[in-house]
Amino acid sequence: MASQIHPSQSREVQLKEDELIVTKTDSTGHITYANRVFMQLAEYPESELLGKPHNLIRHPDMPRGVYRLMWKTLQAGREFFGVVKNYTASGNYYWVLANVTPDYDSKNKLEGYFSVRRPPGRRAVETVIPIYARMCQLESTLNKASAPDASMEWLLAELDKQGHSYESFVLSLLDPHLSTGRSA
Amino acid sequence: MARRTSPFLRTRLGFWLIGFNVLTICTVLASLLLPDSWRLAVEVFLVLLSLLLSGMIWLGSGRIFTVLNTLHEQLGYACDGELHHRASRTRDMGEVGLVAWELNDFLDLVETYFKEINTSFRRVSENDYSRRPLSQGLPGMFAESLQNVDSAIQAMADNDGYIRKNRLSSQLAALNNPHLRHNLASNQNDLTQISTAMDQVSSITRDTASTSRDSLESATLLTGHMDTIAGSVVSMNEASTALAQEWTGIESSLAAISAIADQTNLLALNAAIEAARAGEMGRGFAVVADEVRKLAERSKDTAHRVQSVLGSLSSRISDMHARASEAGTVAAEVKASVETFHQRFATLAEQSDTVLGQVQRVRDMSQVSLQKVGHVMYKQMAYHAIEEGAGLPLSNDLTSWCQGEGRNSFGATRAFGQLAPADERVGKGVELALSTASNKQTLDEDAIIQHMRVLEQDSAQILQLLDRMVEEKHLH
Ligand SMILES: Cc1cc2nc3c(=O)[nH]c(=O)nc-3n(C[C@H](O)[C@H](O)[C@H](O)COP(=O)(O)O)c2cc1C
Repeated sequence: MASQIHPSQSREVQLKEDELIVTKTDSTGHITYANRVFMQLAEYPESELLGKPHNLIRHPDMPRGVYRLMWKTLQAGREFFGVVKNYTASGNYYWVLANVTPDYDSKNKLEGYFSVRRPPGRRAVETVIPIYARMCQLESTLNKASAPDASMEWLLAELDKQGHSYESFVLSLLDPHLSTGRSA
Repeated sequence: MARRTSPFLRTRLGFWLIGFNVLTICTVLASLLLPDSWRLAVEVFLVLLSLLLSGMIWLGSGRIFTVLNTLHEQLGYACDGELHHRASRTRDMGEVGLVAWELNDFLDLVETYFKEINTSFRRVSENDYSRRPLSQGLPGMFAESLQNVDSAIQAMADNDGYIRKNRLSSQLAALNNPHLRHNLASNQNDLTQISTAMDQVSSITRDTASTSRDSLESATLLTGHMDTIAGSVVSMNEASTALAQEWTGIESSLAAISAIADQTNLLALNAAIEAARAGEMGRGFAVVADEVRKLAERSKDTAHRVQSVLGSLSSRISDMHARASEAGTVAAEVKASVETFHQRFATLAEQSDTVLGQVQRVRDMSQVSLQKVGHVMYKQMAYHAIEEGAGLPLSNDLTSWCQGEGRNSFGATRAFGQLAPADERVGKGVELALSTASNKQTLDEDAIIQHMRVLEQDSAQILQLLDRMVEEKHLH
């Protein structure tokens, strides 16, 4: 995949306001379903998605610490919000506000994960870009095993300094129109 | 979600129908036109063709039925409440494929909708109102419904805030009121004590005034006595002058008597000589005798005069005596007056000391009472700030009093030593309760009430210590 991508020509494509990207994975993160909006935006046919790991569309600007936090949150049975940058098949990229939740069957057994993505709004993207850059830089100075945890801890500590939990931070980035009333 | 109409299924059905119709027409034409010998072979061929076509239709429709079956299953699951099943691999299935995708999209919306609702409400049930349902990207009713849910959660959050605030208010009031009543009663008690002390002071002042008036009378009396003494002394002086003059009279009288005695002696000597010379010449003796008689008369006269002088002298002396004893009595009286006077002044000084002590005690009591009122006010302000959820820092006058005036007045008492730590605890307690109350996210009433309960204990101790300070200081 990486050989087909030319970052210099990479341009941003956007998700429309009234569109949702929905994908599902099994419990190991392999794609079991992708909706048509996703296939159009990411430029993959269904046959190239089903059964593939979701890191297929992973963009190198995304720090590993974010995904570490995502998996930790999901494994604790909670939902995860994240502002995420992804590749399309042709090497373009797009930003989304991803919401990932665990799926349980009627016997309450983990069935897989459900992810719905909305357009994040400029403010959210602008806020996370420098933070992600710092995390990536931090990760590049550490070995592969300890990097994700270290950058995740850095992120949480940094947000804590601003009086934020990770979730309250992401929710604070949402434009008011994303939900109606916001609580204090 | 483009609604392209795929010609696929319809076209295929069309082809199949055309195929069957052609076969049927061929069969009819064959039975009408062909000679018997050909007919059988052609009809067998046509039957084989139709079997082949049926087989193709059977196989071709199989995949569609699989997809339809999947859709059927998916809807079945959805009816059972499992929204996470989707149909995939529906390429080249025309309308059925489209239906499958529409169903997928629909289930995506429904699942997203329910996930939003579930997550929000799960968090609400944990008393967390911060995770609001996101309606963006969902169409029509879905978005509308989520917006309504969002307003409902907002209302619940507001309501929860009011309920907590009310509950906190009533709990705080329940905690505060008895203490407040107690505090006020204690202040009232202080004021009663102060007024009793003031009564005492004023009665002592009254006593002092009357003692002073008595003292004044004593002083007047004393002055009177002193006048009498002075008068007595003057008359005693006059008496002694008179006495001195009398004594000159006595002296001249005595000189006259001694002259007479001398002359009598001389005469007696002459008479004795004459008698010896002319014993018979009596005549001359008669002259001497006459002279002696005359002398005797004069002596008698002088003696009379001395007697009268002595009489007047002794009367004067007794007069002086009387005056002297008079002066003695007066002096004794003066001494007694002065003693009374002294005593009066001693009492006065003693009373002044008592008055001073009382006045200081009253001053200390009112100082402390003022601090008590200040402390109670501080507490009330804290209660108010907590109810308002305002985190503004309150100024505690007691703290600065402890460092300045309080230390000067009560620094020596044991109770004072315990006052500052108790006051510090109260300050910390207020800070804690305020910071807990100003946490807007969740109002932790139990923690606040707990802080305030501890604070009330410390506050009760402060009030006791303040009382003890005054008691200790004025023990003697
Ligand atoms: C439901 C779901 C959706 C996901 N979506 C994305 C995604 O959009 N982009 C992405 O890079 N990773 C996504 N991930 C995470 C990937 O599975 C993977 O953990 C991540 O890309 C990190 O890959 P790496 O471990 O190879 O670095 C998703 C995972 C799940 C369970």
